[in-house]
Amino acid sequence: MMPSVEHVDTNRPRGPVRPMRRGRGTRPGRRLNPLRALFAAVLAVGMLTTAACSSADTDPGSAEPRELVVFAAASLEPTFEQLAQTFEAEHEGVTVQLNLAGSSDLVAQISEGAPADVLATANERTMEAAGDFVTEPVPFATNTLVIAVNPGNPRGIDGLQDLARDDVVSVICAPQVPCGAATVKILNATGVNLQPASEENSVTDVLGKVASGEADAGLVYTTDIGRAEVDAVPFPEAAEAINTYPIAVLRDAEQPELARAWIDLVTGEEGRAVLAEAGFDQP
Amino acid sequence: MTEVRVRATVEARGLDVDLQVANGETVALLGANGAGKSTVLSVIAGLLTPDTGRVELGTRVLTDTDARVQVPTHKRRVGLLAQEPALFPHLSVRDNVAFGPTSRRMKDARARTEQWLAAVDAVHLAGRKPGQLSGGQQQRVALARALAGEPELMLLDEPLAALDVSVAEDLRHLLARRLEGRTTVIVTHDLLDVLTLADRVITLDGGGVVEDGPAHEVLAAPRSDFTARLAGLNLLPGTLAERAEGTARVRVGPWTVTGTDRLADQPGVGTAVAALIQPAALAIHHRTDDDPPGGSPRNALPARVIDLSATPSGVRVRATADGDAPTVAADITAAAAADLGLAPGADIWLTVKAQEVAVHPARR
Amino acid sequence: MATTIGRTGRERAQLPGWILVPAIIGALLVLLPLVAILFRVDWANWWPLVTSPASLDALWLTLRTAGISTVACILLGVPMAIVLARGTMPGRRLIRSLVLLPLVLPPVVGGLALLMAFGRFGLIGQYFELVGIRIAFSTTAVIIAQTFVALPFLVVSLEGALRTAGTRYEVAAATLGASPTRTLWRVTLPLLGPGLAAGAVLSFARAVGEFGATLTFAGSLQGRTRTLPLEIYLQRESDPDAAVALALVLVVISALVMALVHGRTQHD
Repeated sequence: MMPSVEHVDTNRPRGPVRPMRRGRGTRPGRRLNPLRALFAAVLAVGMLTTAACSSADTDPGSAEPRELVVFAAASLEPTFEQLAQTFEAEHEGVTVQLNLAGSSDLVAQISEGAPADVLATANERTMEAAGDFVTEPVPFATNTLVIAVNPGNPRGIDGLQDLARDDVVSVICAPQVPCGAATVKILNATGVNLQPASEENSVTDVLGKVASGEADAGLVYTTDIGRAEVDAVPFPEAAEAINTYPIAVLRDAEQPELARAWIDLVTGEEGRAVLAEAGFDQP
Repeated sequence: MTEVRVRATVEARGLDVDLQVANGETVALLGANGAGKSTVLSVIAGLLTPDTGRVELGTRVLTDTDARVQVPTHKRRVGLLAQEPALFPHLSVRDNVAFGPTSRRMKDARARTEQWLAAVDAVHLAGRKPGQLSGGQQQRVALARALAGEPELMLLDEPLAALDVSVAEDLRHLLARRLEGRTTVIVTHDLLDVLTLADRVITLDGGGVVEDGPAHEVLAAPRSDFTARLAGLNLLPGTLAERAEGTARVRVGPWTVTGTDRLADQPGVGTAVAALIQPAALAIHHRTDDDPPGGSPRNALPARVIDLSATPSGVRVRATADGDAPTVAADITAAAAADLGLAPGADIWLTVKAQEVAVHPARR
Repeated sequence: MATTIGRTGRERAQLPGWILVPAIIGALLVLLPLVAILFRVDWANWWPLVTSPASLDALWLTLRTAGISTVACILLGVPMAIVLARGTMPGRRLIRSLVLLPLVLPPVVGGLALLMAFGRFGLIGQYFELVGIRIAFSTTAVIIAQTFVALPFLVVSLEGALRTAGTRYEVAAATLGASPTRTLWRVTLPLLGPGLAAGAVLSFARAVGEFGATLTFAGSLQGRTRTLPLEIYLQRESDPDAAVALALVLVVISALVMALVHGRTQHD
């Protein structure tokens, strides 16, 4: 879908601006376009200045500092931040750079050439969209939908059927985004005729509408409930659409070993515990 | 009978005036920049509410700060002609002139419009937009527009200041004709406006009235610096002694001055005129006897130095003579002043070529 | 350096030659991304993409709401501009800055603020709710959001026009006996014409492009609240080609609008 030709995109959010990274030159096979060249030149000047001012960086005595760049779905924020601390403690001289954003945005950034070592998305479809950029994705967590309601559940919403009530204003994710795809799947399977007031672009937007009281109910992931002032109403039909989070090493990863070590941590005992604490299930 | 009475203080502009204009009279309001002339017009027009004061027009009270009366501008029947014509650019000349009569719901608005277009010789311009007119034509139309609504009082704020000299002269004559008999206040910096249009002169300085009298008296014997140096010209008021071949001889007190004839009509000998001389056009010579210096055909006026003062370009010498002579200012170089060794009281000749003297009509 | 003769017979200001370098870089910075869109458009499928029901719904909704917002901007903005430019009430400068705030406010913040005012539990919204009027999630909410962000554009351009024109025509009208109302209709408003047209077109363009406040305040539902920018943002999730195709439509609309404004100011 995304052509692999490089292209400058000024609209899309970029990954975090990152400092100079040693041992990382221009990637082979990467074409330079004029704007990028200009940008690189400006950056180079900045780096030279920085390097000249800090000769301690090149001290050969200590372990060479390395950086692991992890692109992860926004819903993984608390768990991955916790795991990053563990990882840095276990690997001396390693810094974990987390770029947290919507899965589609992450894939878009990677296909535009953003440098990353690991990609973890919120569903398998977006991982597929990353195509050749990733190698051997593995599932590491699952998530199910839950009904988010105003604190105290003033409308008395007990199940999915209540969202179709005339007196209930419900919002869902648009079918084009992962949470919306899951929602559509469940609605189709159960035959609930839901007339949403809005089809939002992200779980955050759904949560915002419910938390502010503009909407009475919304469908979000179990793991998102803690992010806003809402109460959760689980419903059995959620099993119709279990969402799986895959994780993969990038084909062009500069730290492939570290990337694999990261995936081991996430899928290992400690990673599973942290994810479970946040409400994720295991595949 | 229309009579204007204005008493007003405007603290922010340091204004404190008390003045009157009689029915049918044209008063020239003079004064340096910032003296408060335009502020007075704004107060009369109702564009500015004075801190304290009272403005009356005939039997109507337009402003009375004690009684909290402030009649809005559009109900005052006070016309205004400013330096900028400010014709409505989106309306034709005819619609501009008709604006006043229709705003005042005059029954004969249409006829009145045509009449005023004709009065300022603008019938052939009636269909044009203001942008297609020259500056002088615009100001003529603006005059017609201001008068078409029959204001009881006309205010003119330097109406000719933005125009070329020759255009201004034409328009000045038009103003003289059209304002004849109308109660008018004109703010001006131009001596010719005063000479041609004004019956009376009121000079403001520092926000107050410092001079008030018939135009010819004030100009003949100025008591304020401003009037004396009006437009930087020497004004020698006198009576016409002789006219011949483009030159006119004027008797000014003890002097007789010959200059270029700028008299419009055919005024007879003995009528009031004024000779205008640039201070820089005057030269100064020592006077030891009654023999004028040099022999060329020029004016040589015996005089006595009053005082000297430094100017950016040299020295200004003020001089006069016994026998009702006006004060005359001459600008000379510092070197010339040093050579002559001038001091107050020194006897001198003031000389000037006839071409440098302009003889204009004066209103009396 | 050789001097080349440019256009003759016309006075020109002398420019230092080097000024062209940053000027051209600046122009490229603006133009290059727009040109890049042209390269990225899937021309074979462009027409089907922009004429899909979802796209047409978004386009129609956008034009409709932006049109209504522009009318609202004129009805409210003209009096605002006149009061701000000519009024004498105290605190006018402060009021002016506050009213123009949406110009610099991040749209999302604007959306939140609108929610606080017109939302279900908002300052005013709660009373609307009592009488059964719900603004959130409705097309009305889109129009309110668009008017909120577009109004300052109209007010700013009109106020500028009013200040440039000065008060001399109004003063002249008053001394000719015209009441303030007659002066407004016969002098102030006609003279405002060109500035008003330019301001209205700019407001329309801003309303068409409104995104953040709409997303926050009005939500996103096809045919009701999902305007073109929201549709583009959503399509990007699943069908980038459709997003690019629609983006081109938006660029063309904006370009037409700017051409209209520019054309008008050229005539002045």
